[in-house]
Amino acid sequence: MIKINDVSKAFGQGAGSVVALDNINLTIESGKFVAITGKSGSGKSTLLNIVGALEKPDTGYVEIDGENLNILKADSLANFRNKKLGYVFQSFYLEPEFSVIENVALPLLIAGEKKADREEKAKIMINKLGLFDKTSEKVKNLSGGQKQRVAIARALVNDPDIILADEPTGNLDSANGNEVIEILRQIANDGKTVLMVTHNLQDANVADYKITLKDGKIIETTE
Amino acid sequence: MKTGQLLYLAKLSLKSTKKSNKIIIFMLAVSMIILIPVTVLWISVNVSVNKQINSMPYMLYSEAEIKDYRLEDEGVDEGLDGKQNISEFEDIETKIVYERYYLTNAFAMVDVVVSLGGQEYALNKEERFYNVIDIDKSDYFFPKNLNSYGSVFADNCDKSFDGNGKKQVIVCEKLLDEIGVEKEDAYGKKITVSSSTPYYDGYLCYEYEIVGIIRKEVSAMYDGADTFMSALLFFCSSNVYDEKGEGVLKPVMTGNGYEYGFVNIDKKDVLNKEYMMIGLGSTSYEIDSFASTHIFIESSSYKKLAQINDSLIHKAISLDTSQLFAKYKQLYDISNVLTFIFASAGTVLLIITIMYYYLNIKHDIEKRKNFLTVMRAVGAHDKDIPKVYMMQSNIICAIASLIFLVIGLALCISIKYAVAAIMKVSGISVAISVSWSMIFISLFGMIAIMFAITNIIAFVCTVRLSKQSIIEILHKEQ
Ligand SMILES: Nc1ncnc2c1ncn2[C@@H]1O[C@H](COP(=O)(O)OP(=O)(O)OP(=O)(O)O)[C@@H](O)[C@H]1O
Ligand SMILES: [Mg+2]
Repeated sequence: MIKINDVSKAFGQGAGSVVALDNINLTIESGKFVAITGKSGSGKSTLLNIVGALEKPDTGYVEIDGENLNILKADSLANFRNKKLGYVFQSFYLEPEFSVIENVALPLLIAGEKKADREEKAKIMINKLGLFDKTSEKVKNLSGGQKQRVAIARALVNDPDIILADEPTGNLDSANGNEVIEILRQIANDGKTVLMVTHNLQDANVADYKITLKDGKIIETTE
Repeated sequence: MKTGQLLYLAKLSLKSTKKSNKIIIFMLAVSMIILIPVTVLWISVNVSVNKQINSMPYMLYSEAEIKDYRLEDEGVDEGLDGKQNISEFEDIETKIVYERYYLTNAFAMVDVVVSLGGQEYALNKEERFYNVIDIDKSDYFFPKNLNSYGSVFADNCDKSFDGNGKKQVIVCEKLLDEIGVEKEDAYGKKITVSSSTPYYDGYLCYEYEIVGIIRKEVSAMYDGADTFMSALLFFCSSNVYDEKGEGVLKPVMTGNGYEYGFVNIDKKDVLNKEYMMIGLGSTSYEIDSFASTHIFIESSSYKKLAQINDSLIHKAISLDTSQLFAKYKQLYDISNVLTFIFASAGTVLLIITIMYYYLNIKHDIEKRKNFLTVMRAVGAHDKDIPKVYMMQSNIICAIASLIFLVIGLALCISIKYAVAAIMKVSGISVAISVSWSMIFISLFGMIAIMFAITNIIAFVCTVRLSKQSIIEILHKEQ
C-alpha cells in the first residue's frame, strides 16, 4: 500500500518558484493500476518521482508498506528502490551497447546476485515479454516497442511490488503503445501496483482508476 | 555493489569501447616501457656512484690527520709510565697489561691505509714488537662454513693464514673480477698475502696459492658486517714489514670492502707483487665512533708508530684522485643525458595517454549519462558509479601491466647484464651494479603509479555525476 500524506513540492526560489505539488493526500491499494493524468506541468512526474523514492518532498511524506521514505538514507533508499520498485521511463534509458539480457539483468546485478541466477531470472522475464529471440541482441538494434518491453522486463526482473511508469507510451506508435498498456494491465492483474503517468485518455481508461492533477492538486479521481 | 558484480559490469562496459581501450592499454604500456630503463639506470648510477664517493677515503685526504688517542684518553697521559717501549718493562704480566692497554689507546688514525688486522700475543716471547695496521672485525675473514680455514682472528690467525701450513687461500670472486682474472684461471695462481701479525715468524708475507673462490652470493650474505668482503680483498705485498717492522708501503687500493677502487695502479698489476694492496676496514676498536673510512695503526713502540704515521700521511695526501672524479662525472653526464632523453619522451607520452584517457572517460560518461543515472534509480549506490569506472581503470592497468612487466623485465635484465659487461670491458673503476631489488621496486612502483593515476582520473570524472540528483539529470534530457 502506498500512502501519500500532505506532500508538497516546489522548485526554484522566490518569485520564480514553481509549485509542482500542493498538499497531495492519496492512498493507493496494492494490486491496483492507477493512471495519473493532467496537463503538462501539472506535477504528474513529480508525484511519480516522489512515490518512486527518486525525490524528496518539501513537506509531508510517502509511506510504502509502512516504510516512511523520508527517513531512509541515500544508500538504504537505493536498496529500497532496488527491492521494491520498478521503473519504466518514456525514453527507456537502456544501454544501447549491451544486449537485452544484460540490460534486463541490471537490477539483479546491482542486488549482487550471481550470474547464473541473474540470467535465469532475466530469461524468464524476457520470454514473458515475448523477446525470446532477441535475448542476446544488442539493444541498439531493437525497435522502440521492443526497447520499451526490454525496459519493462528490467523493471519487473527484481519482482518489485510497485511499477512506476512515466509516459511509457510517449515515444511509441499507437500499436506498440497499446501493447505496452496491455502488458501493464496484465502486471496489475498479477497483483502488482502500477502507477502510470499519461496524457493519453484511452490509455488512462485501461487503469482501475484515474487521478487527474492540475497545478499540483488532485482535481478528480475517477473509477 | 560487490566487487564481482563491479568487475562484470566494468568488463561489459569496456567491451563497448574496445577500440579506444586498446589504444590506451598500448599507450600506457609503451610509455612505461620507455620510462623503466632510465629509471633503473638512473637510480643505479646515482646509488652506486654516491655510495662509492661516500666510501672513498680519498675524499678525506685533504683533511687527513693523525690523532694520538693516547694523549686524549683520560688517565693515560703518562703513557707507559715514562717508558719509551713496552719491552722496557721487566715483568711479563705488566708488559701484557700495558701492552693491551696501550694498544687499545695508542694508535694513530690516518685517513688512508690499511692492512689486515688481528693480533697474536706471543706470550712466550720476551721480545715483542708490534706494528699492526689493523682492520677490525677480521673474525669475519672466512665464512664459518669454510671451517677448514677457520677464522683469522687473533688466536688462530697463524694457522688460518697459511692455510694450515699449506699456504693456500680462498679469495672472493669479486676480487678476481677486479684484478681481471678469470675464475677458471685463478686456481693455482699465486697471490701474495701479508700477515696480520708481521712480527711473527712463519706467516709474515708469503705467496699463497688460490685454492678456493667464494661466490658473490655467499660473500653477499656476510656483507652486512661490512668486513667480510673487505677482508677478502686480501692484502698482497712483497714488501710489507719484516720482523723489525721495516718495509715500504705502497697503497694501491682503497674502499670499504664491497665498494672499492684502485687508485694508482692498474688492476692487473696487483698480482705482480710489487705493490701492497690495501682495503679499508671498518674500525670500531674500543671506540665505536671511528668512521668506517678510517683505519688505525697500532704499535708497541710509540716512536715506530709516529714513523708509520709520517710515512702514511705523506702517501695519503699525495694521492691524485682527479682522474677518478673525472670518471664519475663522465658517468653522471652520460646517465643524465640518457635519462633526460628517455624520461622526457616517456613522460610526454604518459601525459598524452593520461589526457586521452581522461577525455575518453569524459566522453563515455556523457554518452552513457542516462544509463548510469538509471543504474542509480534501480538501486546502485552513488559511489558505485565511480567504482565501476575505477574498476575499468584497474582492468586496463592490469592488462597494460602484464605487457609492461614482460617487456619491462626483459629490458631491465638486459640492462643489468649490459651494465655489468660494459663495466668489465670499459675498465671503469666505478662499480655500477643494477640490483634485482631496484628492478622490482622500479617495475612495481611504476605499475602502482599507473594504477593510481588512472583510478584518480576515473574518480574525478565520475564523482560529480554520481552526486547529482537523479531526477535533475533525467529531467534535463526530456
Ligand atoms: N527538476 C526541476 N527543476 C525545476 N523545475 C521543475 C523540476 N521538475 C519539475 N519542475 C517543474 O515543476 C512543475 C511540474 O513538473 P512535472 O514534471 O511534474 O510535470 P508533468 O505533469 O510531468 O509535465 P509533463 O506532462 O510535461 O511531463 C513544472 O512546472 C516543471 O517545470
Ligand atoms: Mg512528466
